[in-house]
Amino acid sequence: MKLRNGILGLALGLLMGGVSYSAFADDASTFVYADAGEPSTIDPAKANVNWEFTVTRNIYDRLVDFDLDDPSKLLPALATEWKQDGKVWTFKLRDGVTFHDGTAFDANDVKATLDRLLKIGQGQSYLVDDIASVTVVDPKTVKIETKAPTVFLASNLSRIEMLSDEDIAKHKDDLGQAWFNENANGTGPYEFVSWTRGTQIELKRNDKWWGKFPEKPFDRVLDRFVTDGANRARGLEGGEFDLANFVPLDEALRIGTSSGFHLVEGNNLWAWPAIYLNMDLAPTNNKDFREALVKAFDYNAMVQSFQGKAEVGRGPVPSWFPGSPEKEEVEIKTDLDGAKAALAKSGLANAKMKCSVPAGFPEFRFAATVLQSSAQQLGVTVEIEEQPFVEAITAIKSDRSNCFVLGNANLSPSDATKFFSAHYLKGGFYNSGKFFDQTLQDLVAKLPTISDAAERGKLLKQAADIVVNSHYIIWTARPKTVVPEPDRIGGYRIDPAEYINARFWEMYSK
Amino acid sequence: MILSVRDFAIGFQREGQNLVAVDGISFDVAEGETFVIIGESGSGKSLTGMSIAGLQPPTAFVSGSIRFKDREMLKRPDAELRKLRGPEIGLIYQDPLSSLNPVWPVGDQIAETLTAHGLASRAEARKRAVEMLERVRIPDPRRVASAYPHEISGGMRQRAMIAMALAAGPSLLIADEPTTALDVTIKAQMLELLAELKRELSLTIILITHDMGVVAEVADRILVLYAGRIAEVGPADAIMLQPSHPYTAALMTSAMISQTPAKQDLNAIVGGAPGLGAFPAGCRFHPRCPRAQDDCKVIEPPRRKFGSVELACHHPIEAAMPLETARS
Amino acid sequence: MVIAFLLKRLVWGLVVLIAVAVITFFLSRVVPADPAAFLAGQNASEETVQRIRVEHGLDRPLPEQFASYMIGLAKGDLGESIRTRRSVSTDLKQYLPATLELLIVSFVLYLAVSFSLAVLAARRPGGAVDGAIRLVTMVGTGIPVFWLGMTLQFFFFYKLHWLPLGARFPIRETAPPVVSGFLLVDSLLAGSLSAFLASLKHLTLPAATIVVNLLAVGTRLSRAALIQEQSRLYVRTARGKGLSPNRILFKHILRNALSPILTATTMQFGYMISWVILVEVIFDWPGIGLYAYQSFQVFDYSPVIALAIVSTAGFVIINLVMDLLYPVIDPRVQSVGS
Repeated sequence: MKLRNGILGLALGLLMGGVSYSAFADDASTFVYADAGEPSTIDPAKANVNWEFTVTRNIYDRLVDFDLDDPSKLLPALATEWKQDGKVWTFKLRDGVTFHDGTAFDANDVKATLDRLLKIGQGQSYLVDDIASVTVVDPKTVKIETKAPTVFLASNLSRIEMLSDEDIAKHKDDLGQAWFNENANGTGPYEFVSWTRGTQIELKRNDKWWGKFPEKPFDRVLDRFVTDGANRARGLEGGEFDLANFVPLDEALRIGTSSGFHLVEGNNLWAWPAIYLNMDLAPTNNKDFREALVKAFDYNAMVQSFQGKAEVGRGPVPSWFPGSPEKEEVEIKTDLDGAKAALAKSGLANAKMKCSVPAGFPEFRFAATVLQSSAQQLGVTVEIEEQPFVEAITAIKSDRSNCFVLGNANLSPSDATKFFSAHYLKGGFYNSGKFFDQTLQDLVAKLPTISDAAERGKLLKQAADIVVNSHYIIWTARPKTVVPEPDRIGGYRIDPAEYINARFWEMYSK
Repeated sequence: MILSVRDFAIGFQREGQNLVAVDGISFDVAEGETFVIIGESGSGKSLTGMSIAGLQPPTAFVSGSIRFKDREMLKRPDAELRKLRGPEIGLIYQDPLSSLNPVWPVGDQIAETLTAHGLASRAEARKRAVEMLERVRIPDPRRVASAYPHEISGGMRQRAMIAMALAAGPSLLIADEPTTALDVTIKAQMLELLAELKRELSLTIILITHDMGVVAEVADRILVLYAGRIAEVGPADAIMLQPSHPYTAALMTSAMISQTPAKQDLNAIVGGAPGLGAFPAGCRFHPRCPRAQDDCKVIEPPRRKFGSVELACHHPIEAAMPLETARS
Repeated sequence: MVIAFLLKRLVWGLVVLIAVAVITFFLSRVVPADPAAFLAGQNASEETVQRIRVEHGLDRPLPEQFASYMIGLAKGDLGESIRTRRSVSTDLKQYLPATLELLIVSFVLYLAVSFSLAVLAARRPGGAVDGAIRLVTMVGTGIPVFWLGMTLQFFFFYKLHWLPLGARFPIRETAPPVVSGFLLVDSLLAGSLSAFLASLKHLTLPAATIVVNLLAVGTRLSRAALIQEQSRLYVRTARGKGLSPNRILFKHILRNALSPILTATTMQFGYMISWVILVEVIFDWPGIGLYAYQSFQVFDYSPVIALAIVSTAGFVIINLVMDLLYPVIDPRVQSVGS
């Protein structure tokens, strides 16, 4: 035993002489964020789930920013001034901005970024797919022409991260797809350091950033991939993590009200369970039948499942969204008599239908269960099938299922038409029940061209009414997001037009 | 006396009942003699043999006394008994193939007897193992030493067993049915070897067997055990030539009749030996005894001197007839 | 002889692997799912999705996809992961060491613990100790893995603060440079005993979860093997030589009990491979189990098939090694080939 220890000690001694390595000491300037997943890519042109945005939003900057408390109010970022003149928008760019690799930011970067984004056509490109061309006027001025006049371009650009044209040119063979998948060079508040697959992405603070950090910002950020929700909760509570996203609601409420924590509440896009009904497959292809389901649905049960922290929607555009017509819409509530009448009219008593639910989302599953028991009161049988996401959406698209549960998302802070394009217009990928209405198509196309806000509001209400009256969707409830934040840190705010995410540059230690 | 056994009894508890397997036997073994314990299976002969070395099953209860070289063996702590097994008492068994560890070379198993008792270093013990193999007349002992048990013949294995039992130089060898599994020629060789080793090493041998043929060749004194009781004990010549106990006589007869020393030889006696817990009252042999009378069924025969032997029988074969007469 | 045997087993192993590849390929495609939709993301247009399908060959007829997959496989190409956007072999190289480290540590711990318990239990079969061990191990096995893992986390991380919640290395510290991918080894290579101990601490709960879960079967099998060997005649011989019970146990019984125990534990290793997925998810262990779990969720075909092939290969190799080991353990097994 003694001999063995001696040998081990000797070996260690020899090794220590040869290698200099020391584990980084724990300090208050490191921020650990427990993210629910690992990015598939950190390419801003492809990022489309929130754990990818965690990285892209913090490394890159956008031309404009917006006020989280009033998303219709835009703020300067890489662009300091902008104006619209019909189809042409002109942006004046900020001086003295450099990328993390030291190269200067100018108009060429904007053009290269947008050209590349539209060519790839993935991720957030839908927000700016009405761009026709980008022109460099001078290094500090860029002109963007749209296919039709749109008032929302600047607002939508508040989601589009700016890359360096040098990087794009260097890797132009595949549009830089391979390189940008796992490398990043932005102008933003944090720099990309490393990506340990399966474990974490490390960022460090960019002290040359043009923006302003709070006092005592975090110098180092570790974006940890923690798959299990209970683990994120427990790690947050136990102090391993400084912040976590997608903490299960009951855990979040418990942790947020325990000592050493406070709750941050806000609106956000994540997981509003909306039930899509298949317009092409019996019995949901019958409008009266759909109306019966919408009226029978027990909205209260849904709100209660969110522990009261939810509201019942009245249409496709949530009430807090700039220009939302929701306040003028009729309240949607459970009306069993109305439901029975509608069902009688449809002549589909005792009908049977199938509902596909993407697995892994308890709220979605619960919404389907509520539908099942509500429909049962009408004598309608709902069979629930929980499947992996792609399988579930394929089932309704190929008419093997009558319904599908999903949240509707729109990353634009003020362009409501984006709620429609993916979900209610022809060819929209999440238009899983294949809704089609020509009037709606025309309205949505026309909306961005109207500069008068009141007039736009009127059209938006018309568009919303078309969807509401078709009974295509059951908007079950829109939960508020609650995030427990430790008292030792501050600065966390919820982006209403985003999935749950963190702006690391606003966070600080107390 | 190298060994003296007094009122030794051993039994087991089964389903709340005490089943006595060996019921108060006494005998002495003198230094240098070959003492044979003979009996059918279930007679308690092996239990007695094992108990001498302190190897009775841990679940058994024992009483009486077994003194080996003036040491009480019963109820002695196992740690102390272990010191005697090997250097003082050697044991060999029937079925040498199963009795040898199948995954160890034969030589190493022999050497272990020495190293485990700290009698030799590992290298020295190996050398002694080869010497022991030579001593038990194994040709090419080096090869056999490095062979595994399954690689050598049955006779060789038993010789190796003997070499292992004697490696540490014991004065008493307990041989439990050592020749049972062997064929006739090998058996004879083995008995001859034992006799030679006994002379060379001045051993005392306790031979446990059911085979009268073995007895005839080597025994100095004989103890006949029936159903946990002594039937007869005395000098080999006296017992072999003039068996007084009807059981012994029957054993002798069946040994004469059966040409092969196979297992049935004792079954030649009418009926079977009683099992544990089914011992009859009175003389335990009476249900099978041709001379049994009414007293045999109720009164247990006391042990008494009868010529040069001691026996327990109400109606012994008094007129000691020559063997030839008994046969006809 | 041995070479002929090896050749035969390798060919057989190859046949099994090809069968697994074929079966998993078709099983994975039977499910009507569209990984391209995942790649394209929310709000992507149908054209974009179709373009991605074409890029990844997902639009081609199934037999054609199958043929090109098998041709790639023959060249050692395990395909591309849609989720990580890297080649599956690159991913495996990254994730495999973490899993192997966990498996090896668990397996060694499992052998040691189950064998020690078996020795204690076999000393007096049916006794109080035997009964207690049986009860405790049965309870350990009866608890579902995820619940066991979370309970351990709850006590050792949340309540007692003794052990970390998950992962392989303390979050706020820098792991040693990757040489072997085994953190225990890499820590020592980097000359850091503290890093070594930290890695060990992170290994404790995941390994304990696996071990506790398999313990009942392992202990029972080892105990049975020991009890059977205890009644063998060579044990009587050993006692007759005056050997101590410990010497008899370790020098005689163990060697003989080894082959039945190894046979049983080989099967257990198979179970371990399947438990590892759950355990890695619970403990955020960045190994192939977590990789498999994440790939399953988005119908990332290539990693799923590759993992089936790799774990089958692992099982084939272990069985082969065991077959080669038997004659070493037990000289009576002359040649595995005959």
